[in-house]
Amino acid sequence: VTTRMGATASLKKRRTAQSDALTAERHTSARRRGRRGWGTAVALLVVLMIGLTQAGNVTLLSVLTMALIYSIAVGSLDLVVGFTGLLSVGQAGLVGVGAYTVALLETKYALPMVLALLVAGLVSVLFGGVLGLSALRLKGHYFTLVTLAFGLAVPQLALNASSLTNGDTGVVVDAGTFFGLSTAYPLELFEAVFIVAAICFLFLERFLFSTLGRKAMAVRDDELAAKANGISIYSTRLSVFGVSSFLAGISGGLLAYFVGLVAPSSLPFDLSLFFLAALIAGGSGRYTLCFAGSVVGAVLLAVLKQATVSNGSLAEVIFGGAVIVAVVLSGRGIWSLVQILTAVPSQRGWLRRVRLGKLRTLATERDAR
Amino acid sequence: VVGASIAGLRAAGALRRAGFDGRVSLLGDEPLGPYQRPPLSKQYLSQSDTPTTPALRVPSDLDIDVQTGRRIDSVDFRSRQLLASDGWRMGFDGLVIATGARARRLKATEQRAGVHSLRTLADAQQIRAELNKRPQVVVVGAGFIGCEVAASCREAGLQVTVIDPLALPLQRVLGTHIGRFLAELHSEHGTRLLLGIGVAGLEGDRHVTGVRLTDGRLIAADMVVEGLGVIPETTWLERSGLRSVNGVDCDSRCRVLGLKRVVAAGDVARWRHPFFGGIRLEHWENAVLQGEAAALSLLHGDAAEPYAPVPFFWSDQYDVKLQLVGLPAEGDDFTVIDGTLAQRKCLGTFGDPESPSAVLAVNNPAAIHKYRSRVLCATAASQA
Repeated sequence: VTTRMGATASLKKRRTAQSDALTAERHTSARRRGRRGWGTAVALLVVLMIGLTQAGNVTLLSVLTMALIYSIAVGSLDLVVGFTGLLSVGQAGLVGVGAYTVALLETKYALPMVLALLVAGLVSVLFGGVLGLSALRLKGHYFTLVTLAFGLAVPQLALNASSLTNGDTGVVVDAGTFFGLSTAYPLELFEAVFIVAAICFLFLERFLFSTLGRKAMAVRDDELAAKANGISIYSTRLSVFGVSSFLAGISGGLLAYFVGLVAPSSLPFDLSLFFLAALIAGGSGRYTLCFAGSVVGAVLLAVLKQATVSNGSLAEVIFGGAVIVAVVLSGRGIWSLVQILTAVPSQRGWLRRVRLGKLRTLATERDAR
Repeated sequence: VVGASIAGLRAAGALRRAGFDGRVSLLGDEPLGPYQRPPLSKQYLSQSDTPTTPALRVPSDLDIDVQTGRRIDSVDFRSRQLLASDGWRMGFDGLVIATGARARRLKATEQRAGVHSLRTLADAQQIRAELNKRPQVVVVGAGFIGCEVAASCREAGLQVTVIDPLALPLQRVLGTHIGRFLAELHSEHGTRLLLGIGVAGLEGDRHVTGVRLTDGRLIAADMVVEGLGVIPETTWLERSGLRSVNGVDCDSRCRVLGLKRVVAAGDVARWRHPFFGGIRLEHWENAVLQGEAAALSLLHGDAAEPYAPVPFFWSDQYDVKLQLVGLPAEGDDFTVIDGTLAQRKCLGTFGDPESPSAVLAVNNPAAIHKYRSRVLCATAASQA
């Protein structure tokens, strides 16, 4: 698919398509197969190591747990935004659906945690499916607007369906047990969340390199070319949207266990935008990176939210700055900083090249190599 | 008289002063006799030297039988007897219900060491004792108690955070204008305000270590003070078959509906104010006046005046004294009529400045009382 796609790519997209095609080729070769998700794995392991070594620091552990929960949501968003090319700003709505599902299942039926999380994912797929069925018929900005409306609607729905959701007060979530790990204890909760996150990212990575994942990327890179190759754009997007909803729902379910209460104020209206900003800041849709950017962005988001707790709008300002930096670095995110900085010293006269334009060229060259 | 705080004490005193010469018993469930509650959230916490217990004197010439530590569990309204669970009982001809209110708490599973509410002297003593360990204080709720406790702790030099789901402190009572002023006041003094966000729960095994916000953030805390408002103390009446929603239902003369020679006063009473309709006030001055009014209506029945006070309260936060006369209606605009808020000394009206629904004074204690009759007239006119 990718080779054919490269040949038919439009002029505008040719460079990215080619570089992606190159990397794709490199990665499909059997001996390189093990390298795919290394970035994600490293990022997750760093989080795990910090968490385990700093287990006594309650605040830090809480931030890392939150970062892992966010990272699943941001990863699921990356699938839609980065790899399928659909700008969705309603991910927090799907997270909210998952959170409420877990809260209600826990209080009404005392379901085991694993089951509750799975059901949360499935209910989110239901909501995401209905959203996708209608919204995916729209193009570009119009799709984005519908997802925005959905993101805003979920907290309002929760506020008004008070017989089910207790309105403003919210639903209390009791501690659950995940294979012997009780969510009542911060460290065990962290470990449980880590395991779920690791499984989610493993799943995401497998999905990305499955036929459907490749179709999604083909659709992203060139709709016309994809269509010409017999890929149904609508059903590809819908399937990806469903998978993304599932993971967002699981993220929401974990959030419910983590916070212990699900209320409309658990889903602030700007959360979806924060997810998107985290994705851009961390780096999205990068074939070689897999979902490492999502993890980095989510960590950044959780740290900033906690650090700016007494100064609410500071998080937005810093995040705005991070997004601008990421965009200047040709939308590659913070992760690419590492790549570029390691690439630069090997070039002759690199000091003269430390201009953003040059950096960008360097990065592109490196990617092409 | 059941309830030995200010409303009960004033009721007992008024009975005597009106010439009642029978036996008057004042029954309170706290170990101490009557004391003043308003300073508990203010000077009592912020003063560095050991404060004196703000006791209220019960004049000995009134011959009032004060019984402390006496909890009444139910009433038999047919045989007109008060009952306690230990078998104690006492008959009565007339009853004054003045049991006040209890603090609304976070749910029981959140209760652990370092978590306090503030209603009684015992609460205040516990909080004071813990303040000496210089904890990081988190106040849940930016109402009057919350704001005052925050200010007192901040004046004692502690790190204080206030959390409230509303966007501004005291927004529901005093509106956005004054809410914004108070938010600035607290921020200026270094109190951290986390507004527009709820509390999901508390963290910590035995002692509290943090407060979890509904969006997942964790605020470190060694001490949590709950300022979540109060619930009228009517459990013992409900057990006796007197149903009540938000306070004991009374007529305009504080007589409890459906019962003979039973009156209620103070925080527990919801009565028909001739101008405001059914209201319940949690103000010090109302407890004083209503205690007296209820006693007179118990003695004189229909010959007593309907109880129609102008609501009044004050609050001290840092160097600011707020005083309010009247009840601002929701959405009433605040208009400054003298001084400015920036100078921290001003007088302003709620609603139409010509016939205000309420008047607020900031550090202007002398001026406010002139407006009482004006507020009452305006309210009476709006009802007519």
